Amino acid sequence: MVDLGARMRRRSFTQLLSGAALGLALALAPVAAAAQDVPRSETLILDSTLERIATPENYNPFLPTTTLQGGLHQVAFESLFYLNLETGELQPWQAESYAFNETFDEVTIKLRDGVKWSDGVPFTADDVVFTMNMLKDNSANLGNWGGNAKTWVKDIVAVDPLTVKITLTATNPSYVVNMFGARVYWTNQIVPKHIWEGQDPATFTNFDLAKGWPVSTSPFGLVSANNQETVWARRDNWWGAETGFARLPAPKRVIFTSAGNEERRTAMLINNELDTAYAIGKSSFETVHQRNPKVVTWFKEMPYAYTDAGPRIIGFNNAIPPFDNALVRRAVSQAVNRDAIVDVAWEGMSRPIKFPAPSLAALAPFFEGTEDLFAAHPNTEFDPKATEALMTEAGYSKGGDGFWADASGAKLVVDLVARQTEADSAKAAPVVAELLKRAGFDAQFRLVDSAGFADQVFQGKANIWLAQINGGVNNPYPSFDMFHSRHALPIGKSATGSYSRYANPEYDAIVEEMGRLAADDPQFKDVVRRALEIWLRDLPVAPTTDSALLASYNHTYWKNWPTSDNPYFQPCFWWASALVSIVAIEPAE
Amino acid sequence: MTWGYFFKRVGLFFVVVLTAMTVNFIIAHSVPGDPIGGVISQMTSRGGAVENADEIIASYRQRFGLDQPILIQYVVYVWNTLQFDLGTSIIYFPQSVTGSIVAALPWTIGLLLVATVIAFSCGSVIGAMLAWSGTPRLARALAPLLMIFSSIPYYLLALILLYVFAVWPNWFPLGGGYSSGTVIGFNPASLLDLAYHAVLPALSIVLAGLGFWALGMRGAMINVLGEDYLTLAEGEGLSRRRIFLAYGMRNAMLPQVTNLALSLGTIASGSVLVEVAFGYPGIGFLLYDALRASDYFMIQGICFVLVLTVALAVLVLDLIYPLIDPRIAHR
Repeated sequence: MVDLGARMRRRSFTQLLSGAALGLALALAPVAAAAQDVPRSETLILDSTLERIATPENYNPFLPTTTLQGGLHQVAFESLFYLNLETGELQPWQAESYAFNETFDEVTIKLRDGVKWSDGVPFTADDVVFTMNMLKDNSANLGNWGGNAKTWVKDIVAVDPLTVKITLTATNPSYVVNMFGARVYWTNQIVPKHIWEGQDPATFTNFDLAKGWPVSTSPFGLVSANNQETVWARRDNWWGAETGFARLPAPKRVIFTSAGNEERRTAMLINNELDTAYAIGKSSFETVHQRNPKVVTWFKEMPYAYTDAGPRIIGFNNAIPPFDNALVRRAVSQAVNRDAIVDVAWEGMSRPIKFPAPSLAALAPFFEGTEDLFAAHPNTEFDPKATEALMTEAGYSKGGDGFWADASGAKLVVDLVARQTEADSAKAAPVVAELLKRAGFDAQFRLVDSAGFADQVFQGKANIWLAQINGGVNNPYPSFDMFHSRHALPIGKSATGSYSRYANPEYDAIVEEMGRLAADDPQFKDVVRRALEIWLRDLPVAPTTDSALLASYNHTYWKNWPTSDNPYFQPCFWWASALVSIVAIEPAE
Repeated sequence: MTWGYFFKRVGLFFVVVLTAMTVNFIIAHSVPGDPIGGVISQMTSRGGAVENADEIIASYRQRFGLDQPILIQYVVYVWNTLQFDLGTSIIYFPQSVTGSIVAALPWTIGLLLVATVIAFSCGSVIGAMLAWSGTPRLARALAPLLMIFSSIPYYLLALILLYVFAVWPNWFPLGGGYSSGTVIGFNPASLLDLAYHAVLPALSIVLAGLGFWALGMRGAMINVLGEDYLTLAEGEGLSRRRIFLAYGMRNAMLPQVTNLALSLGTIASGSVLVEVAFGYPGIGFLLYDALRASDYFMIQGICFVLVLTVALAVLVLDLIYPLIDPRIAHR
């Protein structure tokens, strides 16, 4: 007898599987819109530096929750200027020039003639005025862009279609480079008024492939986006090529892919599945280079890596004991051997620093003639005897267990917090904790995620931590400004700047004076010296090492990447300034 | 089955879901750390000088209702969730939680469904053969090998497979759900590409799961082999193949089917570490990302979907079990 039930069950099962396969394909179909079939040799594949592109359908560059380095701030938008860290020049892009008044509280920006949005509408001063007013009016919802606009922009007007005049709330000679120059990582991008007007900038996602959004002036337009990658196609009618400003970029397609962990990035470089890769370790790079010699980094030999803009520090909470005492801060600083951090956390690719600013050539002249100050305050020299002396002077003595305790017998507990997502911090934390233990501090370390770090450090709950500090790259003012007391909010509120909650009115006054001077002002270096003298005496944080992010570049398909032999620009493809290199690269064959 | 039992069982389903939702809420909110602070922390770690961190945090806390008393937050959460309004991600605002789950779910279901069915089918057959006296010695030697695989965690197997098949010989892709820059559609090329990328993740799940299914089946089969009806079947001169399949395996499968139903219920949870290791864009990776950033609403949304699918699977299994095994009746 034929078992109809069994046959039906078999048929149903087959139908179920077919249905599931169809459903899967249909469900996945929308995640990738039609992309042109472009050969690999004309495709540029960049590491998004992310494990997944978390916001593939959000191209609002101002929300603090937007993923920027998945292509958004490199190729979705352009910047008025790009700061070239190698030459120190502010390279004009959408803008042509800028000029301050004599008191540095008013700046006039001249826009480049012929710049067009991707929908053909001219890029004008109205777009700049609209963007800055939008940021100012919505400061609480629009990340640091909103906060900066509210802090600095008193008034902004379009003098004519190509001229913008910004009146600042205070003197700020660095305003243009800081806001519109992609100084470090980000820049204040300008959005099209005719698209954004009437939208709520706090919720607008600026994403609609059918409408050609995001509309931008960039040579690349978005064609597909999902959690794995964003794909951008070259716009052959880019204003830059049409006006003769630059040649059309060579890549016909740019992909920002989620390459994931270091092991995957390494393997993808070897297999030529990536043209750039974010920070990998020295040994990983050497393996890659051995198997694929066309993958190179900034230097051919050690230390390989380019000096990153964010040097590393041991942060102290200056607002609460025991680190409200400069003697204790200095004692801790001198208990830490920086060479050990360089060896363990950076595999020898970095170097110790004495002040929390990166060892960039552009900054060195500002510290010339300050050697005597560093000699008088050898805070960063590893010297256990100095630690003993400083702790004794601070009123501490070692108990029977060998740990420092105050006059009441209470042990000084060092609970070091480090961000687990920062590889070097995670590696340095046990080293620092061990060195502090050897120097008599009851030290331990905790690795926390970003949310935990914000909770502990920003809110002032932690008393000591490992972090990076992103200050000046072309002049030291932003680094000094990180320690201004306006950043030192009460415990429980989110501090800004260096998060150290350092407050010293005398120091504040000098920093404010520095902020009013142009970097080439004859008095500038003298003010730097005065600020440095106080800073070294008080040591609000302990500088440890430069940051050495070993970014790799693959010359299999593309050449003219920035390297120390060809230093036309900084090799930071995850920064907003990456477009300069993307436009400059050429096919390898 | 009586209506009384039916309503009691459905009522229990709602109690389980509500309890699990409450536990999800408590756990997500107990983790130290402020998700908005985490966003600011990420911004500063990448070089953004944030002048107005406190203002941004206050604004976003208000937007997400995190400034409300915890009890109010709980009531709002339960009310919205029961209406399937899972809200927006905190750390990736304004990305909707539902949208993120819907985008990730097909990847996970596709991968896990296929892997689970393969592991279940192969594991059950292998397990039954291990208990069967007529199985060749070579096949029996599989048992220790399967034990080794099942004792290796998924993610470790994933890494081993990556090195053996993707890094060194470059036979399979290093990760991702499909080839970079390709167009996905319902066509043979796309399906082949999807399958090609799913081979290693699926293999890691299959290899790790084979032992579990094989051992379960082996135990059940040994029990069945002692039953009188098998002796009778042998006495009647039925073929060994028929006895093995129709009398042995068929009856030993019942507990396996129960486990399969429970496994299918947990499919939506994905295989977090396998997805992370392969950069597979499924729900497990989404959950991993949300947990690392204390993204309350995303965690709660994903867990709600997981709880719902598991509870539904158990409910359905409970209700249809009498149909599978007539000896069981609900009264």
